Amino acid sequence: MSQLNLTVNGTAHTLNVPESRTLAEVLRYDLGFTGTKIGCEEAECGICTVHVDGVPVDSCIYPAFKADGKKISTIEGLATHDAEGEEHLHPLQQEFINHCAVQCGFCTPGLIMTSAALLNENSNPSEQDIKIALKDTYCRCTGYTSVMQAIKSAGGILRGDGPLPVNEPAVDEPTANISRSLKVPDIVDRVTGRAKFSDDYTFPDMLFARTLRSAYPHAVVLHIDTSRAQALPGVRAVLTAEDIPGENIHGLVHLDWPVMVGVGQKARYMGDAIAIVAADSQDIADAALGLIDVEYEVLGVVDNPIFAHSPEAPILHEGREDGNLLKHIKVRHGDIEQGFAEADVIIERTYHTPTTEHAFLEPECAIGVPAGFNAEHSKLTVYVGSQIPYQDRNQIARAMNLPDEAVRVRGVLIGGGFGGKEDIAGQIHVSLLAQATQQPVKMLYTRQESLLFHPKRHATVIRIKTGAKKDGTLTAVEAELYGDGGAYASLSDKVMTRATTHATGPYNVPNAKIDCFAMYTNNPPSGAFRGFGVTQSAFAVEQNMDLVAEALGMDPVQLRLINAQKVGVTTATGQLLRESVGLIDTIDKVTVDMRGGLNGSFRWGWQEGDKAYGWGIASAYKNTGLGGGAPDKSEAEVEAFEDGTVAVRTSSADMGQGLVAVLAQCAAEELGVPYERIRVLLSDTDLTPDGGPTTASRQTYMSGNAVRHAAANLREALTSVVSEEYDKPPAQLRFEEGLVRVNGTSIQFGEAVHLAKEQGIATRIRHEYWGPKTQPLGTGGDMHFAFSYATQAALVSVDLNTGAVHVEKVISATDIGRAINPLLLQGQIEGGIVMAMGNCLTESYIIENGVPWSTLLARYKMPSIKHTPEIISHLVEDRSADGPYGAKGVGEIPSINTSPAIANAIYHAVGVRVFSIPVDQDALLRAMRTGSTEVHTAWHDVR
Amino acid sequence: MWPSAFEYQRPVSLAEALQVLSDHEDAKVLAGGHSLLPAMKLRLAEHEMLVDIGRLSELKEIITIRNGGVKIGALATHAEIAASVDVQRACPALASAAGMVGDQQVRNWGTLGGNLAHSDPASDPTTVVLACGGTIQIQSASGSRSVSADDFFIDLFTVDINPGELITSVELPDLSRHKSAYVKMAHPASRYAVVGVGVVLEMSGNTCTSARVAVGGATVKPTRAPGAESALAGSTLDEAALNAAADAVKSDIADMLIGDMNYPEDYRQEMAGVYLKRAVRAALS
Repeated sequence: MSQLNLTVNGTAHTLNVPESRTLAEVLRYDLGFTGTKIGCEEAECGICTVHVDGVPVDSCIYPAFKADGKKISTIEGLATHDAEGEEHLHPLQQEFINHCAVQCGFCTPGLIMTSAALLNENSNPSEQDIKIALKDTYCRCTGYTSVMQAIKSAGGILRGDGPLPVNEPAVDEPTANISRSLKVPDIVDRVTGRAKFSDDYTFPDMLFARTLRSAYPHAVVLHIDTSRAQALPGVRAVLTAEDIPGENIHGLVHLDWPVMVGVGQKARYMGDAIAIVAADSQDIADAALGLIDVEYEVLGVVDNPIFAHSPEAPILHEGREDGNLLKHIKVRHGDIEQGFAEADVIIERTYHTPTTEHAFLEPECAIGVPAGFNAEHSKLTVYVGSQIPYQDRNQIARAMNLPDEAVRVRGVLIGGGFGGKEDIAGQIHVSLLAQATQQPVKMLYTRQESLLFHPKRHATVIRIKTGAKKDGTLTAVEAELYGDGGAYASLSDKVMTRATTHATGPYNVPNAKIDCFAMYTNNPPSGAFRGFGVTQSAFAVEQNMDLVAEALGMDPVQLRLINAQKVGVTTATGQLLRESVGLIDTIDKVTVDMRGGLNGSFRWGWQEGDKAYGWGIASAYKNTGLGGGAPDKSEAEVEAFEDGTVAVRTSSADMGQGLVAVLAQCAAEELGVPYERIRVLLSDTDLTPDGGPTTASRQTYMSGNAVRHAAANLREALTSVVSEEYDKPPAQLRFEEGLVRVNGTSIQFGEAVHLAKEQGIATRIRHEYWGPKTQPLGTGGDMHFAFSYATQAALVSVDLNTGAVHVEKVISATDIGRAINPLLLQGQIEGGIVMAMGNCLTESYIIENGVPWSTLLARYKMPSIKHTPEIISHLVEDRSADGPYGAKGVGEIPSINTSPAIANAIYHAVGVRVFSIPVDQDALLRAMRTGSTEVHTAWHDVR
Repeated sequence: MWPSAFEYQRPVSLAEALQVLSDHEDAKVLAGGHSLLPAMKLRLAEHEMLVDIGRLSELKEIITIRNGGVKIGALATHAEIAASVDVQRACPALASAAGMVGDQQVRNWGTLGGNLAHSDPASDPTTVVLACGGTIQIQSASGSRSVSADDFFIDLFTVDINPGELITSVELPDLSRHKSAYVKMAHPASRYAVVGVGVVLEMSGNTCTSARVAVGGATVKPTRAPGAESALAGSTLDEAALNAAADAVKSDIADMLIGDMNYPEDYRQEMAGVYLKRAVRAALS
């Protein structure tokens, strides 16, 4: 311990801390400046950036004592306050809000502080200057386009030139609250550092927990000795499987994942928990892990899904009839033999897509508070940023041997999810430790642990055969997919079903036979990841479409137009499409832009100097909602108050997509109350009804509808009260601008609420919205209640000397039914495109014989602002009958077709087709040099 | 994650720093800390004592020296080197390479001395210091010595520094009448050099009278390329000479190659040729 003197945002602090503290830790944990976030601890992600004497540093690796005597500026100090104490945001904070450059908000403090340092030096930076300054400050949500605009705009304000206009997408029919880019209610908190994520919470006497994980990808645990760890001073509890009061199992669809692997049981991947520790400090907990002795019997490793299916493969889950086969999914449609007999051209190819990682910038963190800890915590309470709070509660209760109602899950802000925060992480472990110690327990995963532990996107092998007639009509698709499900089921069943049912692409395919084998392996589990399996099959489908077009001598756009799904088409699962199929509009909008960009002299590919350029196009569709016969419902509650405000409550999660705004817009629209008077509470199993999982692009549709109907019912109740009181026919009442108007006179909305309360009429209304009924796969009928559609064109350049691929531009058009909040929606599209670009060009989670190699962020290559292409995004609003105001889902559709569009563009640029991603530029260069037209290795393949 | 506990010393003078280093053989020098701290937090390295030399202002100076060259204090940051008019005049390739290091957070605190001592094979400044024929000045409690860059780099992450020693400065010759450049193939994520090539060309009219070429990124350590140098020397740097030099550089580094699953050795070797040509063209432009 030594004395450290710091001036933080103008206030001097003196404290005694260990010399090994970093500046980020001192700011966050010793001084409470939790606006500074820690994302990686490797100086990779840049989001911990603060200024030391005006100079930006990565505070997570900056020794605190290096800053001794210096002036530190953090995000909390960026805004100024006037004499009355009113806050005036810095132009960067203001413009990040205005240009919608904030989604989850976790990286925002780092982006803003890095940008502030840039603008301090140069208030008129070029795009290149911004890319250089921010190239190592990651954001996983926005795709950086809006960030770039926000920085330029703030520079304009600082220079006195004024802000840039906001790049609002065009919409068909804005109303008072719908199709308007209203700001997310707590947005100011997300740019000032006040927004609190799990690790920003602290409780009296809180302990710190760590997890001991398996030393092998496949092994029987023979013996666990925790005595040395128990004896370490400061250790408060060391628990193993024996200490679980309830069932030692969890899982979202199949219960197959042990909470901890006990003696005599098997560890099936390196992330399996063996023991958990709670201690007075993080470093004591860390040290204790090293004192737990475990003996293993090492077993053979199943490292890929095709081997998993072979008779020689060791079995992961004994006692299953199907061995390592987690699920065989089949689509049968028409007569496949007849279909190929009719075809003039048949293309059959095999494609590989990699395991990929969500890399949300906030690592998992959960805090457990024991039952009866204080008045606020009469129940066992878990604070966590989760996509499915009610399922968390159910899984915790099962392991704790408690009724569901005895557990409370309080959702907090989520620093990015993308499907990666659906499964249980530390929620059960902190519950066990909190109850065992009777103290609050925080379990914060390190970035490296997060990379090792949580479910990923399925690596998939796809063999696909497409048949077409001379006129371009598709006659048949046959496909076989192998998905790497990893050690536990998670959502594999559902994800790979989506990969299978979408394997015809968004086309009219009269004959189809598709088989998918989801397999257990000793790799980290695979689960939900934005696109949910469709990302994988689209990569194969859309390249086969281009191959068919080439074989027929047909333009790729023309082939897609000929076969595009439209109203009246029946999908391969037997669903007759009756409405809201905007695919052809998306193709038209994209191709007009693509072809017009070169004044009519359009070419798919050309060379200039040392570079080849190419355009590529791809289309996609994606279901909204769970579908497949799963009961899909969301419940919400709307309550009106006499002060004229309204509360909206549902357990659905906002992980940056802006659900809070969408729900408030629905309530405001129905009640005619100003948007600012709506308060939304999410994700609390005691206070909010069950909105269901935030997955499958479903919440705008499902919870939007639940809120819309609850609000409409509340309006009806108020209507009858007011019409009776003032003796006016209900039809003449109008709810608008916070008033109830009738023929020139009006009363305040709050007054109407007051009248209702006086008469004992309920002003708190719940509505359980059930999505239109769907049918299981194989039964025909409607498997889904809505689909969103998208077309994208990518322009790439390929360096002819190095094989390096750069995406120059992406044009997208997305049919989302109706844009409730156009700017938030555009943020989903831009972010999805950049994430998918990473999927195609750089991202691969590498595992060697069951042992993950990509356990550092430095070993997982995701796009930074440096790689962001120019993005033009159009909206197509082909309304759905049941969606709120016609809306469908948007969360996933943008990140599905970028990868095949890029691959098709590479082919048009250099005549080489890429069958495996991420693109191997070395192999691409060799192919270009040798005249080969195909590359079958990916970047991570070892030759 | 917390680094394992360490003791932390902050000497205020060079003499004090050298004394601390002489008293504690296991002490590790901390300059900018951008390589060291992440390694310690991830438990890839453990050190019981860190000696933070950040306060030794005498090691921060950048000055023009008698022969027109430039002397850069070991603690000069990449940002300071990139912005220094002395470096831009005498050794423009180094100024440009310093501007390519990491991001602004790294350039603001990362130092040339730290970079040389750590000697990451993918670093940019190390390759340029070798191409430019720099000399590294080293001190210890018992004396001082200077080592030419040609001898300084020994192996992967290994340089000619002994326990108790500290790099104090780097001297670079006056190359203002030469043509020089550093170019790299940047890793798409980390922006570290997959291949980096530095060239310094002495010209007489259109003829190159002598050349120094150094390659980094692709090799275990910054490596001179004598074959490429002789292919360039005496030529007019026409396409034929560039092709010959590109072929030669591939053999020059054949025994020194490193690679990984993303960029294997033979690809990096091939790229050394491509980037040599780009470096020569950049130097002439």
